[in-house]
Amino acid sequence: MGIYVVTGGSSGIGAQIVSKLKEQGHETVNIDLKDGDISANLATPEGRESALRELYDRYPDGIDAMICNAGVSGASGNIPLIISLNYFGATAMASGALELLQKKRGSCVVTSSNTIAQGAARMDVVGMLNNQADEERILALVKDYDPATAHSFYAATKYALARWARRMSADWGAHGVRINAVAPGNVRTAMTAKLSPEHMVAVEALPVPINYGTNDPLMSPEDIANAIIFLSSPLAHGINGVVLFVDGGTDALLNSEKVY
Amino acid sequence: MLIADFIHAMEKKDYKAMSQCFASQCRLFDYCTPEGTPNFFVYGRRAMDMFYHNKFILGGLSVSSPRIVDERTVNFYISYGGIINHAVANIESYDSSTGLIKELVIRPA
Repeated sequence: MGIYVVTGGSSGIGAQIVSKLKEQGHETVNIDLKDGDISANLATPEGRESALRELYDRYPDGIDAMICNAGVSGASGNIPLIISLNYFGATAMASGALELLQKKRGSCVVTSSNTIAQGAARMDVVGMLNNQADEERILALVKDYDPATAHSFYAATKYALARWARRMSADWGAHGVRINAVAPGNVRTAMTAKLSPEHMVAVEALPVPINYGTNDPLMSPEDIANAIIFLSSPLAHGINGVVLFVDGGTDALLNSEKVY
Repeated sequence: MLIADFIHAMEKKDYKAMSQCFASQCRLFDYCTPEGTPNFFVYGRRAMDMFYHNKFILGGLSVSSPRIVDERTVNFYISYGGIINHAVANIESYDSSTGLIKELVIRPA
Protein backbone atom coordinates (compact mmCIF):
# COMPACT_ATOMS: atom_id res chain seq x y z
CA MET A 1 0.00 0.00 0.00
CA GLY A 2 1.18 3.50 -0.79
CA ILE A 3 1.55 6.87 0.87
CA TYR A 4 -0.61 9.44 -0.92
CA VAL A 5 -0.42 13.13 -0.13
CA VAL A 6 -3.46 15.17 -1.11
CA THR A 7 -3.76 18.95 -0.86
CA GLY A 8 -7.24 20.34 -0.31
CA GLY A 9 -8.48 16.98 0.91
CA SER A 10 -11.01 18.24 3.44
CA SER A 11 -13.85 18.84 1.00
CA GLY A 12 -15.08 18.38 -2.57
CA ILE A 13 -12.92 16.40 -5.00
CA GLY A 14 -10.06 16.18 -2.49
CA ALA A 15 -12.26 14.60 0.19
CA GLN A 16 -13.44 12.00 -2.35
CA ILE A 17 -9.84 11.20 -3.24
CA VAL A 18 -8.86 10.75 0.40
CA SER A 19 -11.90 8.62 1.14
CA LYS A 20 -11.37 6.32 -1.85
CA LEU A 21 -7.65 5.92 -1.23
CA LYS A 22 -8.37 4.95 2.38
CA GLU A 23 -10.94 2.43 1.19
CA GLN A 24 -8.20 0.91 -0.96
CA GLY A 25 -5.98 0.61 2.12
CA HIS A 26 -3.53 3.40 1.34
CA GLU A 27 -2.09 5.81 3.86
CA THR A 28 -3.25 9.35 3.11
CA VAL A 29 -2.01 12.72 4.24
CA ASN A 30 -4.44 15.59 3.76
CA ILE A 31 -2.82 19.02 3.68
CA ASP A 32 -5.50 21.67 4.08
CA LEU A 33 -6.24 24.93 5.79
CA LYS A 34 -8.96 23.32 7.89
CA ASP A 35 -9.30 19.76 9.16
CA GLY A 36 -6.10 18.55 7.50
CA ASP A 37 -3.71 15.94 8.79
CA ILE A 38 -1.23 18.73 8.19
CA SER A 39 -2.76 22.14 8.66
CA ALA A 40 -1.24 24.72 6.35
CA ASN A 41 -2.17 27.74 4.28
CA LEU A 42 -0.85 26.82 0.84
CA ALA A 43 -1.65 30.30 -0.45
CA THR A 44 1.47 31.54 1.34
CA PRO A 45 5.15 30.62 0.88
CA GLU A 46 5.45 30.10 4.64
CA GLY A 47 2.51 27.73 4.71
CA ARG A 48 3.96 25.66 1.85
CA GLU A 49 7.40 25.50 3.48
CA SER A 50 5.88 24.44 6.77
CA ALA A 51 3.80 21.69 5.12
CA LEU A 52 6.80 20.40 3.17
CA ARG A 53 8.98 20.34 6.30
CA GLU A 54 6.33 18.27 8.01
CA LEU A 55 6.19 15.87 5.06
CA TYR A 56 9.95 15.37 5.02
CA ASP A 57 9.94 14.77 8.78
CA ARG A 58 7.13 12.23 8.59
CA TYR A 59 8.21 10.38 5.44
CA PRO A 60 12.01 10.48 5.07
CA ASP A 61 11.86 7.34 2.90
CA GLY A 62 9.56 8.95 0.34
CA ILE A 63 5.95 9.11 -0.78
CA ASP A 64 4.11 7.37 -3.61
CA ALA A 65 2.02 10.25 -4.87
CA MET A 66 1.50 13.96 -4.52
CA ILE A 67 -1.96 15.12 -5.56
CA CYS A 68 -2.07 18.91 -5.82
CA ASN A 69 -5.78 19.53 -5.68
CA ALA A 70 -6.20 22.58 -3.42
CA GLY A 71 -7.73 25.50 -5.23
CA VAL A 72 -10.36 28.17 -5.22
CA SER A 73 -12.85 29.05 -7.97
CA GLY A 74 -13.35 32.28 -9.85
CA ALA A 75 -16.62 32.76 -7.96
CA SER A 76 -14.52 33.69 -4.93
CA GLY A 77 -13.66 36.98 -6.64
CA ASN A 78 -10.33 36.92 -4.80
CA ILE A 79 -7.73 37.26 -7.58
CA PRO A 80 -4.61 37.20 -5.36
CA LEU A 81 -5.87 34.07 -3.60
CA ILE A 82 -6.66 32.41 -6.93
CA ILE A 83 -3.11 33.07 -8.14
CA SER A 84 -1.35 32.12 -4.92
CA LEU A 85 -3.29 28.99 -4.14
CA ASN A 86 -4.18 27.58 -7.56
CA TYR A 87 -0.83 28.07 -9.25
CA PHE A 88 1.94 28.68 -6.73
CA GLY A 89 0.29 26.47 -4.09
CA ALA A 90 0.33 23.57 -6.54
CA THR A 91 3.66 24.06 -8.30
CA ALA A 92 5.58 24.78 -5.09
CA MET A 93 4.14 21.74 -3.31
CA ALA A 94 4.80 19.45 -6.28
CA SER A 95 8.35 20.71 -6.78
CA GLY A 96 9.02 20.67 -3.05
CA ALA A 97 7.91 17.04 -2.79
CA LEU A 98 9.92 15.90 -5.82
CA GLU A 99 12.76 14.44 -3.76
CA LEU A 100 10.29 12.37 -1.74
CA LEU A 101 8.59 11.20 -4.93
CA GLN A 102 11.90 10.22 -6.52
CA LYS A 103 12.68 7.94 -3.59
CA LYS A 104 9.66 5.77 -4.41
CA ARG A 105 9.42 6.49 -8.14
CA GLY A 106 6.08 8.04 -7.41
CA SER A 107 3.76 10.29 -9.37
CA CYS A 108 2.17 13.69 -9.22
CA VAL A 109 -1.28 14.81 -10.39
CA VAL A 110 -2.40 18.42 -10.46
CA THR A 111 -6.01 19.53 -10.72
CA SER A 112 -6.52 21.88 -13.66
CA SER A 113 -9.92 22.68 -15.25
CA ASN A 114 -11.65 22.23 -18.59
CA THR A 115 -12.02 26.02 -18.71
CA ILE A 116 -8.47 25.99 -20.12
CA ALA A 117 -9.99 25.01 -23.49
CA GLN A 118 -12.76 27.59 -23.55
CA GLY A 119 -10.77 30.68 -24.41
CA ALA A 120 -11.51 32.33 -21.07
CA ALA A 121 -7.96 32.43 -19.72
CA ARG A 122 -5.93 35.64 -19.73
CA MET A 123 -2.94 34.41 -21.70
CA ASP A 124 -0.79 37.33 -20.56
CA VAL A 125 -1.22 36.07 -17.00
CA VAL A 126 -0.53 32.50 -18.10
CA GLY A 127 2.76 33.69 -19.58
CA MET A 128 3.73 35.53 -16.43
CA LEU A 129 2.92 32.56 -14.22
CA ASN A 130 4.86 30.08 -16.33
CA ASN A 131 7.79 32.25 -17.38
CA GLN A 132 8.27 34.98 -14.82
CA ALA A 133 6.95 32.87 -11.92
CA ASP A 134 7.55 35.67 -9.44
CA GLU A 135 4.63 35.41 -7.04
CA GLU A 136 5.31 38.66 -5.21
CA ARG A 137 5.52 40.78 -8.36
CA ILE A 138 2.51 39.15 -10.00
CA LEU A 139 0.42 39.70 -6.86
CA ALA A 140 1.49 43.34 -6.78
CA LEU A 141 0.41 43.69 -10.40
CA VAL A 142 -3.07 42.22 -9.95
CA LYS A 143 -3.98 43.63 -6.55
CA ASP A 144 -6.26 46.34 -7.96
CA TYR A 145 -8.00 44.29 -10.64
CA ASP A 146 -11.79 44.13 -10.62
CA PRO A 147 -12.96 41.00 -8.74
CA ALA A 148 -15.61 40.62 -11.46
CA THR A 149 -12.81 39.50 -13.80
CA ALA A 150 -11.69 36.74 -11.42
CA HIS A 151 -12.88 33.95 -13.71
CA SER A 152 -10.33 34.87 -16.39
CA PHE A 153 -7.60 34.71 -13.72
CA TYR A 154 -8.94 31.40 -12.48
CA ALA A 155 -8.77 29.98 -16.01
CA ALA A 156 -5.27 31.46 -16.39
CA THR A 157 -3.99 29.73 -13.26
CA LYS A 158 -5.44 26.42 -14.40
CA TYR A 159 -4.04 26.82 -17.90
CA ALA A 160 -0.61 27.70 -16.55
CA LEU A 161 -0.75 24.78 -14.14
CA ALA A 162 -1.51 22.28 -16.90
CA ARG A 163 1.25 23.75 -19.08
CA TRP A 164 3.68 23.68 -16.17
CA ALA A 165 2.93 19.98 -15.64
CA ARG A 166 3.68 19.27 -19.30
CA ARG A 167 6.86 21.31 -19.17
CA MET A 168 8.11 19.39 -16.13
CA SER A 169 7.06 15.95 -17.31
CA ALA A 170 10.04 15.01 -19.46
CA ASP A 171 12.70 15.77 -16.89
CA TRP A 172 10.67 14.41 -14.00
CA GLY A 173 9.91 11.30 -16.01
CA ALA A 174 13.62 10.82 -16.61
CA HIS A 175 14.00 10.92 -12.84
CA GLY A 176 11.33 8.27 -12.38
CA VAL A 177 8.48 10.60 -11.42
CA ARG A 178 5.39 11.00 -13.61
CA ILE A 179 3.36 14.19 -13.60
CA ASN A 180 -0.06 14.66 -15.20
CA ALA A 181 -2.96 17.10 -15.02
CA VAL A 182 -6.67 16.41 -14.76
CA ALA A 183 -9.08 18.95 -16.24
CA PRO A 184 -12.51 18.55 -14.65
CA GLY A 185 -15.71 20.11 -15.90
CA ASN A 186 -18.09 21.89 -13.54
CA VAL A 187 -18.26 19.73 -10.43
CA ARG A 188 -20.92 19.45 -7.75
CA THR A 189 -19.41 20.92 -4.59
CA ALA A 190 -20.49 22.95 -1.58
CA MET A 191 -19.62 26.05 -3.61
CA THR A 192 -21.71 25.13 -6.66
CA ALA A 193 -24.66 24.44 -4.37
CA LYS A 194 -24.67 28.15 -3.53
CA LEU A 195 -24.44 29.54 -7.06
CA SER A 196 -26.86 32.29 -8.04
CA PRO A 197 -29.45 31.66 -10.79
CA GLU A 198 -27.31 33.84 -13.12
CA HIS A 199 -24.25 31.68 -12.50
CA MET A 200 -26.33 28.54 -13.02
CA VAL A 201 -27.35 29.77 -16.49
CA ALA A 202 -23.65 29.89 -17.37
CA VAL A 203 -22.99 26.48 -15.81
CA GLU A 204 -25.86 24.94 -17.77
CA ALA A 205 -24.48 26.44 -20.98
CA LEU A 206 -21.47 24.15 -20.57
CA PRO A 207 -23.40 20.93 -21.14
CA VAL A 208 -22.04 17.63 -19.86
CA PRO A 209 -22.89 15.11 -22.60
CA ILE A 210 -22.98 12.09 -20.29
CA ASN A 211 -25.61 13.91 -18.21
CA TYR A 212 -27.85 14.69 -21.22
CA GLY A 213 -31.53 14.58 -20.27
CA THR A 214 -30.88 14.31 -16.53
CA ASN A 215 -31.29 18.01 -15.66
CA ASP A 216 -27.97 17.70 -13.81
CA PRO A 217 -25.45 20.15 -15.27
CA LEU A 218 -22.65 19.09 -12.95
CA MET A 219 -20.06 16.34 -12.75
CA SER A 220 -19.82 14.21 -9.65
CA PRO A 221 -16.67 14.78 -7.51
CA GLU A 222 -16.38 11.00 -7.45
CA ASP A 223 -15.83 10.90 -11.23
CA ILE A 224 -12.93 13.32 -10.93
CA ALA A 225 -11.47 11.53 -7.92
CA ASN A 226 -11.50 8.19 -9.79
CA ALA A 227 -9.51 9.67 -12.67
CA ILE A 228 -6.97 11.29 -10.36
CA ILE A 229 -6.49 8.10 -8.39
CA PHE A 230 -5.99 6.15 -11.62
CA LEU A 231 -3.39 8.62 -12.93
CA SER A 232 -1.51 8.57 -9.63
CA SER A 233 -1.51 4.78 -9.47
CA PRO A 234 0.98 2.31 -10.96
CA LEU A 235 -1.75 1.33 -13.46
CA ALA A 236 -0.99 4.61 -15.25
CA HIS A 237 2.74 3.90 -15.43
CA GLY A 238 2.91 4.74 -19.14
CA ILE A 239 1.08 8.05 -18.82
CA ASN A 240 3.23 11.13 -18.31
CA GLY A 241 2.74 14.76 -19.34
CA VAL A 242 -0.93 14.33 -20.18
CA VAL A 243 -3.82 16.73 -19.58
CA LEU A 244 -6.80 14.45 -19.08
CA PHE A 245 -10.22 16.06 -19.51
CA VAL A 246 -12.69 14.56 -17.06
CA ASP A 247 -15.77 16.51 -18.06
CA GLY A 248 -18.18 13.97 -19.47
CA GLY A 249 -17.35 15.07 -23.00
CA THR A 250 -17.82 18.87 -22.77
CA ASP A 251 -14.41 19.65 -24.22
CA ALA A 252 -14.93 17.25 -27.12
CA LEU A 253 -18.36 18.76 -27.77
CA LEU A 254 -16.99 22.29 -27.98
CA ASN A 255 -13.53 21.60 -29.40
CA SER A 256 -13.90 18.49 -31.53
CA GLU A 257 -11.17 19.60 -33.93
CA LYS A 258 -8.47 19.76 -31.26
CA VAL A 259 -7.01 16.30 -31.19
CA TYR A 260 -3.62 17.32 -29.88
CA MET B 1 -40.60 24.58 -44.59
CA LEU B 2 -37.67 23.16 -42.63
CA ILE B 3 -35.14 25.74 -43.77
CA ALA B 4 -37.43 28.48 -42.41
CA ASP B 5 -37.95 26.63 -39.12
CA PHE B 6 -34.20 26.23 -38.84
CA ILE B 7 -33.30 29.88 -39.44
CA HIS B 8 -36.11 31.22 -37.26
CA ALA B 9 -34.96 29.02 -34.40
CA MET B 10 -31.43 30.35 -34.94
CA GLU B 11 -32.70 33.93 -34.91
CA LYS B 12 -34.53 33.33 -31.63
CA LYS B 13 -31.51 31.49 -30.16
CA ASP B 14 -33.85 28.58 -29.54
CA TYR B 15 -31.42 25.65 -29.55
CA LYS B 16 -34.14 23.14 -28.70
CA ALA B 17 -36.31 24.14 -31.67
CA MET B 18 -33.26 24.29 -33.89
CA SER B 19 -32.10 20.80 -33.01
CA GLN B 20 -35.64 19.47 -33.60
CA CYS B 21 -35.23 20.34 -37.29
CA PHE B 22 -32.58 17.62 -37.51
CA ALA B 23 -32.76 13.85 -37.69
CA SER B 24 -31.33 11.93 -34.76
CA GLN B 25 -28.28 10.97 -36.82
CA CYS B 26 -27.29 14.18 -38.55
CA ARG B 27 -24.44 16.59 -39.06
CA LEU B 28 -23.93 20.31 -39.33
CA PHE B 29 -20.74 21.91 -40.64
CA ASP B 30 -20.14 25.61 -40.05
CA TYR B 31 -17.39 27.20 -42.14
CA CYS B 32 -18.36 30.75 -41.11
CA THR B 33 -16.54 30.94 -37.80
CA PRO B 34 -14.34 34.01 -37.26
CA GLU B 35 -11.01 34.02 -39.07
CA GLY B 36 -8.33 32.14 -37.18
CA THR B 37 -10.76 30.01 -35.20
CA PRO B 38 -11.68 26.39 -35.94
CA ASN B 39 -14.72 25.54 -38.02
CA PHE B 40 -17.51 23.65 -36.27
CA PHE B 41 -18.48 20.07 -37.00
CA VAL B 42 -21.42 18.85 -34.96
CA TYR B 43 -22.73 15.29 -35.22
CA GLY B 44 -26.11 14.15 -33.85
CA ARG B 45 -29.25 15.99 -32.73
CA ARG B 46 -28.45 15.84 -29.02
CA ALA B 47 -24.96 17.20 -29.60
CA MET B 48 -26.52 19.97 -31.70
CA ASP B 49 -28.87 20.82 -28.82
CA MET B 50 -25.92 21.03 -26.36
CA PHE B 51 -23.51 22.73 -28.74
CA TYR B 52 -25.89 25.56 -29.66
CA HIS B 53 -27.04 25.91 -26.06
CA ASN B 54 -23.40 26.79 -25.35
CA LYS B 55 -22.89 28.99 -28.40
CA PHE B 56 -26.07 31.04 -27.88
CA ILE B 57 -25.44 31.63 -24.15
CA LEU B 58 -21.65 31.82 -23.90
CA GLY B 59 -20.36 31.86 -27.47
CA GLY B 60 -21.87 35.16 -28.60
CA LEU B 61 -23.64 33.52 -31.53
CA SER B 62 -26.43 35.42 -33.23
CA VAL B 63 -28.11 35.35 -36.62
CA SER B 64 -29.85 38.20 -38.42
CA SER B 65 -31.43 39.38 -41.67
CA PRO B 66 -32.32 35.98 -43.16
CA ARG B 67 -33.45 35.70 -46.77
CA ILE B 68 -34.89 32.34 -47.75
CA VAL B 69 -33.56 31.52 -51.22
CA ASP B 70 -35.38 28.23 -51.76
CA GLU B 71 -36.54 25.21 -49.78
CA ARG B 72 -32.96 24.15 -49.12
CA THR B 73 -31.10 27.44 -48.85
CA VAL B 74 -31.07 30.53 -46.66
CA ASN B 75 -28.83 33.58 -46.88
CA PHE B 76 -28.13 35.49 -43.63
CA TYR B 77 -25.61 37.20 -41.36
CA ILE B 78 -23.97 35.10 -38.69
CA SER B 79 -22.08 36.68 -35.82
CA TYR B 80 -19.77 35.13 -33.26
CA GLY B 81 -18.97 37.63 -30.52
CA GLY B 82 -19.66 40.55 -32.85
CA ILE B 83 -17.57 39.25 -35.76
CA ILE B 84 -20.05 39.13 -38.63
CA ASN B 85 -19.91 36.89 -41.69
CA HIS B 86 -22.31 36.86 -44.64
CA ALA B 87 -23.37 33.23 -44.79
CA VAL B 88 -25.41 30.71 -46.71
CA ALA B 89 -26.88 27.61 -45.07
CA ASN B 90 -27.73 24.77 -47.37
CA ILE B 91 -29.58 21.56 -46.59
CA GLU B 92 -27.44 18.93 -48.28
CA SER B 93 -29.66 15.96 -47.49
CA TYR B 94 -32.81 14.86 -45.67
CA ASP B 95 -33.45 11.78 -43.57
CA SER B 96 -35.50 9.45 -45.74
CA SER B 97 -37.75 8.16 -42.95
CA THR B 98 -38.45 11.35 -40.97
CA GLY B 99 -37.97 14.05 -43.59
CA LEU B 100 -35.81 15.98 -41.12
CA ILE B 101 -32.45 17.50 -41.99
CA LYS B 102 -29.65 14.96 -42.21
CA GLU B 103 -26.88 17.27 -43.31
CA LEU B 104 -26.63 21.05 -43.32
CA VAL B 105 -23.61 23.17 -44.26
CA ILE B 106 -23.05 26.85 -43.47
CA ARG B 107 -20.59 28.50 -45.86
CA PRO B 108 -19.45 32.05 -46.58
CA ALA B 109 -21.86 33.66 -49.03
